[in-house]
Amino acid sequence: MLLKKVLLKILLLIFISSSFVYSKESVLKIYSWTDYIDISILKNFVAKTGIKIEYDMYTSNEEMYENIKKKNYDLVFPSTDYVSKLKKEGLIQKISKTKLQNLKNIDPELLNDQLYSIPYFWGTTGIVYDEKSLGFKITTWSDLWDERLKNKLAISEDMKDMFAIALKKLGYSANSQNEDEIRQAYLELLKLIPNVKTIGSNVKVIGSADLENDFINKHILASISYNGDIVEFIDSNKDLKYIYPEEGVLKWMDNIVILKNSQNEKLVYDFLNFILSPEVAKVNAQTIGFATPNLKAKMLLTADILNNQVIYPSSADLENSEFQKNIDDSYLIYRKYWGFFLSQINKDAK
Amino acid sequence: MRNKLNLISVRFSMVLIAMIVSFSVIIMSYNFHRSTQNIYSFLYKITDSITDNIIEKTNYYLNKTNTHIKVLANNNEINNILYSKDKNVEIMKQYVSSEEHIASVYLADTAGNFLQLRRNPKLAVRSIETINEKRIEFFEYKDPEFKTYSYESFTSNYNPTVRHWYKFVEKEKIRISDPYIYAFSKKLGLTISYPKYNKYNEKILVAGIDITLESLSKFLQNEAKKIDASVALIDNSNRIIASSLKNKGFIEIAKTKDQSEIILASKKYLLGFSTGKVLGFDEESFAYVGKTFKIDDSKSWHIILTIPEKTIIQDLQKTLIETIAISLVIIMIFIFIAILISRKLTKPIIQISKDMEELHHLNLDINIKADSNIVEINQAQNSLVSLQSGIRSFTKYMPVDLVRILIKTKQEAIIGGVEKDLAIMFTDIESFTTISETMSPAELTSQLSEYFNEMSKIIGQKEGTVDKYIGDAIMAFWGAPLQIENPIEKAVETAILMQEKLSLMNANWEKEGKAQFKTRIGVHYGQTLVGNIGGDERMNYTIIGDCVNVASRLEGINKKYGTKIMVSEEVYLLVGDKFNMRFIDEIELKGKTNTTKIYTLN
Repeated sequence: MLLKKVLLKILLLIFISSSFVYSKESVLKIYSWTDYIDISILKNFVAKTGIKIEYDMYTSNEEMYENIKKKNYDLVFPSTDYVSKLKKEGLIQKISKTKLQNLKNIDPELLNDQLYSIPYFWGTTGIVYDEKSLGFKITTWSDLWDERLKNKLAISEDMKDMFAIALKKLGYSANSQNEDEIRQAYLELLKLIPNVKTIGSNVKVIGSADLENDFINKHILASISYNGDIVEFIDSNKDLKYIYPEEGVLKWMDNIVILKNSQNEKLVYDFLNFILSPEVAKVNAQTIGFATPNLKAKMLLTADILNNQVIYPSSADLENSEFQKNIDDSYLIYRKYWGFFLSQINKDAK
Repeated sequence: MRNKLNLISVRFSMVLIAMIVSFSVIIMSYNFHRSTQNIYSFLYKITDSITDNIIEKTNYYLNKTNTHIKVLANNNEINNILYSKDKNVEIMKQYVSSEEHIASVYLADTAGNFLQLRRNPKLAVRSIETINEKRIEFFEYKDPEFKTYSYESFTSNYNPTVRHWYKFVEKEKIRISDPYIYAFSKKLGLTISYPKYNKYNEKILVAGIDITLESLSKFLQNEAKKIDASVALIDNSNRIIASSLKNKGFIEIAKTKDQSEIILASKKYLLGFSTGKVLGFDEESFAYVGKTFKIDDSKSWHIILTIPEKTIIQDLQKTLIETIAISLVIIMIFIFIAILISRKLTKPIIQISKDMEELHHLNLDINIKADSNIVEINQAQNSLVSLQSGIRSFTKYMPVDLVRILIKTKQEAIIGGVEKDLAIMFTDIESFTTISETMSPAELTSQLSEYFNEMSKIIGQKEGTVDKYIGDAIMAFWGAPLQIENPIEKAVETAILMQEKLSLMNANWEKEGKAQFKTRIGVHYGQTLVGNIGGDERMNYTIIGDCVNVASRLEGINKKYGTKIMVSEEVYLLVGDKFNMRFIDEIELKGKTNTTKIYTLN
């Protein structure tokens, strides 16, 4: 922590030679996944600029999608599939490559010619489980349906992830747009309900869940998780394992987008250049725990992070993996079945 | 007479009633006075205990906070409070979540780092640190489960080290600020702070807690409501900081125009009257009690409590009215009984006094009844009956008229006599010795007393005085002791009436087979000595002289001429024209030198 701060200060002294001028009322409004930016970065940016940052957080793309219509945010961090959705709906701005000097630090393979989003972090949705307590090895998505996991499974509250898992189990594409396949996936999900103990941050919708505590107390023995969320926890808990299911792990990438009605262009680009600078991006990657697409930053990371298989999987781990894509109008089909599924879970909980 | 006496008896009842009423009024007033006193002392005790309770509660708040703040200050080993930020926030979280009156908990160090957990306007962890020589403020907004849902960061001008709670807090001393109004919640509160010093005796950090007085206010109101009272908590600047009034914020007692009783009482208390009364709206009276208590070495607060007199005395007045009503009913019953008893008492007493009056005049023919239920009066009545019969027997042995005169003239009988012209009568029953031999003594006494009774009655009726009975003879006279008109005429009339009465009696006796009495009567008129003759112990009012002998002789002479009534010449000369008298003879009477003519009545 202390080292990080010293580095940041040095960086800032080098980086900020010219002082920025903003109106006193300038406010940068950021909306991201929960705790997705190292707060020291925000504080340092405020110290540098004297502006105000408001930073709100969400736990699912759906939640974000609803709320950006209620409050005027400048920057949002959607997954790739939602970038397409937002772009299609005209909710986001095209990004100026000339104003964003630090875009050069990003892996060019992940960039499109038409720039609407900047890759922020990428990761996988896999399975974390307590092998010792469970008594058998989980290697596939199908293993989650095993009755030995009865009432011991934590699932995701992300609709797309849950359907992708069921689709992969059935041998379909994680981004299927075929209603019949989606319906079959829904039926698979219904079969999973007896095993479900918690969903997202909730205990079967009612009450609060704490994944780490639930693992420690053996209330749950397996969970569908994002790699970055549990990387530190796995490091400190030998019994837990993060696995890449044989049917193919789910790959995703979160991106920064500038919303259409953002008014603080200079402020937004200053912040983006700041967060894309190698040192800042490196600190951010260290703190948040996901894989960074910032090649300059990655070069600054220590070997133990780069060799951590949970964060940076091997190519073998990624066999059969699929990136989450925009599903366009099929979203409504997913929504419909997801609604059925949630009502069944609720019924079961009662 | 009767009415007059009744009036007296009514007055007696009135006095009795007046006494009872005054007695009751005195007792009730005393009772009311004492009850009021007791209730006031009780009231003062209650308010006292409530006041103590409030003081205790206030001290409890403060003491608990004092403990908290020391724990928090001592949680930090080095002079950077943000170094162990998570640990500090964890402690702050415990305080804020467990105690409603804690509005905010915070720490500040010499470097100006600031860490706060605050409840208002939204639950948040606030930190301020210096980054790149800029003061950066950072908010972490927490949901009820203490999960962060939003952050905020901006530059700040806030410097905790120049604040009073930081600057003026002394080593190992709790500092309590004056109450003030919080910027966000507009609630009243105060700040308590405590410092931590290093071994070089330098202040390295200060912990602070803001507590609201709202919960204290609520507590005061609840306590006050229980007894229909108003209450105010006043700080050392004479401002009301918590009260049962609806106003939020301070009320400066010196400046407020509020005229409510709690303000008036507070003013009086601050002038030095610890307990007393004030007049509120509508002239309603309130009792108040005030107390001053220390909250730290330099500060004292006051607690004032008012209670409407009405609520205290209402019950008392109700009781008083009830007591009066009950007393009145009892008094009415008592008066009724008293009248009955006094009637029972006075009526026979009046009768006794009337009877006594009659007896005083020797009117013995009255009917005295011993009918009272009251023992003492009954005894008096019985005594009166005995007295009546005693006097009745006694009068038979004495000259009633004489006694009456003595009674009237209020003289006592004395030895001595006077010469007076009197008509004198002598009677005797013919051959009484012979008759008496044929009868039993009882029959004789009975018949004789009947005879004497009737004869004496006639004498009495004709204003004559029976001098004495001598065997079967009666001696009587007219003209003494009472001076009467026509004494001779009356004596003669008596003689005629006696003979007529006797004829009737004889007729009756004959029917009953009893002996026949034939009486001879002699009547004379002349100067005689009359008076009390005898010793001091016993005396007779009697007549002495020749005339007595003449009358006796005239009676005896009837025998010779076969007449029943014989009168002297003196009688004939004075009243002969009024009666049918016949000359009998001219005889020499024993003891008389001259001859005298004697006459009889036809």
